[in-house]
Amino acid sequence: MDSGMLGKIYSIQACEGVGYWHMAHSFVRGNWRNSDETSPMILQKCCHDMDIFLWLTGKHCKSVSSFGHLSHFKPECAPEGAHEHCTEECPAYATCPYSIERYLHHARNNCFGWPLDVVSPATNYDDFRRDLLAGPYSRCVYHCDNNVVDHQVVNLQFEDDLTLSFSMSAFDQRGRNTAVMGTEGFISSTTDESTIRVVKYNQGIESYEEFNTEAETDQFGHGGGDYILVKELVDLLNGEVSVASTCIDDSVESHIVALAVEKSRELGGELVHINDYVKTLN
Amino acid sequence: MSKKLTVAFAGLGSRGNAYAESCALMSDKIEIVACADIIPGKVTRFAEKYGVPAEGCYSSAEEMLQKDRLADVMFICTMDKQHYGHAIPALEKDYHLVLEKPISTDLRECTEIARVANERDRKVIVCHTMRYTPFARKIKEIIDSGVLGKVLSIQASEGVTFWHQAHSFVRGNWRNSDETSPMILQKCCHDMDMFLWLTGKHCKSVSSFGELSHFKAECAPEGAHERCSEECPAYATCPYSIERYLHHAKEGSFSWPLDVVSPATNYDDFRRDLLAGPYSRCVYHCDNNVVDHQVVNLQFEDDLTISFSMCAFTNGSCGRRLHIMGTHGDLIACTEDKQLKVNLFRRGIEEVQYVDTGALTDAFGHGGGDYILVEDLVSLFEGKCAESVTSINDSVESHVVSLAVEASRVSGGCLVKIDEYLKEIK
Repeated sequence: MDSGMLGKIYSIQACEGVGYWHMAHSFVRGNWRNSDETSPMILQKCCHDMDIFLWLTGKHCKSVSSFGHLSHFKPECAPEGAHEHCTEECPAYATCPYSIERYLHHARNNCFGWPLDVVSPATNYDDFRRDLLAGPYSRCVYHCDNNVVDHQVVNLQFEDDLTLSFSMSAFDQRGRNTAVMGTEGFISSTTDESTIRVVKYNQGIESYEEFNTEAETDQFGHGGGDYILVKELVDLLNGEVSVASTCIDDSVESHIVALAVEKSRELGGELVHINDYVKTLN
Repeated sequence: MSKKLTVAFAGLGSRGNAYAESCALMSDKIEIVACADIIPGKVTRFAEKYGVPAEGCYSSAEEMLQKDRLADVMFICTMDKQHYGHAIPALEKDYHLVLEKPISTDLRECTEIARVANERDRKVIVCHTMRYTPFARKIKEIIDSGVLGKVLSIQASEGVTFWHQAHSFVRGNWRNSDETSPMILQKCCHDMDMFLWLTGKHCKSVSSFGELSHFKAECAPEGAHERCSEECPAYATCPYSIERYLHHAKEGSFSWPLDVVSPATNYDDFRRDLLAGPYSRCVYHCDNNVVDHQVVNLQFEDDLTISFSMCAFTNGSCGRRLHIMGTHGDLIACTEDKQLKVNLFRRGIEEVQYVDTGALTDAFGHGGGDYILVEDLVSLFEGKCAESVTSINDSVESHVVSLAVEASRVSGGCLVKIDEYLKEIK
């Protein structure tokens, strides 16, 4: 984007496809299920996205609007005869995507990485199963004390006519996809594939290029970010760099945007101007 | 019905010709008996290609509409703001209609056309061609089967493509909403209609941001000329120059959009016509005003939210993308891929299916829709189905939504509730 090869960037479309089982684990059964205890979804999960938009574009957000709801993970959506706790005896077990079957499947296959390691420190099936059934992660997803949204759409108006369209959904397996549209080219990327595809419009006949970042992103969590953040911390403290990439002064803006989006959502989609929103907080 | 369905064509541009091609392929069931266009060359070429007799040729739709009914059905493929003025007299002459979108740019005119048609028991089929494509029909089949569970979330995009924007929406017919339509209505009533049809739900409220940002004088490269030619200092690097037209002409490819620029099928005549006409104007120096990018949020019934992006700054492989997200599975569709990807969440272990949508999507324009619309027209008149899939009574809602979205955009993104919007315009 900074190279200028895309020309002037006027439009970004992005998504955070949380995924059905991650939603169930973290945002229905787990720690971030209730915004009274923790955060609204857009702040918890998508301040990443808001921050990325601000950082990638170097522009400020002027106004936002959003629709979103918790629609599915509620008692009224429970399948017929569903139990309060998930077990193989529940009549819906054979067809429910949100049962504990996924945990047990991975445990049977000896895969105890995340999110199983959140459920239990055990690395054998029997102990894992025992801990799972005794804890919050085997609650029925339709019978939890959750309140965070399971899907949300956001429009963002940035400076310089840049518009962003963003979708967060539990029912979306895509992970984070981003399309950046500029007057001279277009890029699309998916975090799953680690590949960035660039189309340049040239003189009217397009050319294509791909950048693969897999080797760098594979090793550590969050696409290598967990490691590089710590590495840069060391550089910062050694004086090799003078400012952190994500110092708090820069990061606060993503939180303002996320909370302004939440305000719009709560108001049923009303337009929220960032300046006005910030004034109401002061 | 043993006798052929007779049809007349008002407006002989790309759309008129596309449907005429389809009619010609069903010449055992359809006969083109009349045609009209204000450009004499278009009438001559059309009549010759489709065997329309001289007495069936008219120099305008108005002239053709002065006669008593000439055919069972009239295809109205004239310009956006002419639709009402052609549809009403045609209905009053008892034609059934195939009416290009948008029905009209004015909602009152849309509902008036529907009223007159219903009163006179005339069919009006609106050209929401996507509903006829095997691709879209397969998506609907999958949604209706329930295999995705409850659809709660849709994300979609229309990648107009940078050169298509320049051709149609900066230099060409649909560049200015005073003359034709706002972009969301012109290009994206297809998308709004898709959302309504695929989900079977109504839209409750909308919000939108969007602008014409790039194709303006202040964005012109340094030294850019008023008209595009190889002498312009920016020619070598501008994606919007006439180079793409010339490139295709040099290769002997004169199909759309070159055939809109000129009927010539040789390089020299094509180039001459290009340089003499509106399609060689500099894209930064046109009388255009329609937006080049827009984002839309739609709140439908039953908590369904839809996120939509229209953008000029895309390339041909983007096409229309649709991501349908349900409680038990999601579906990823791209018109350029002709293959659907369905993820079923099952018991926590996903199952991925790929669904091909057939060779028919390849053969004709708009993914086969241009052909199947005409095929369904014949079925309708043969009594094989009771109602058209895109009858005006169904199609108007997409126009209401599109115009409400435009009202939001123009207000800088304010929330527009559909009910209130309808009350205001009555």
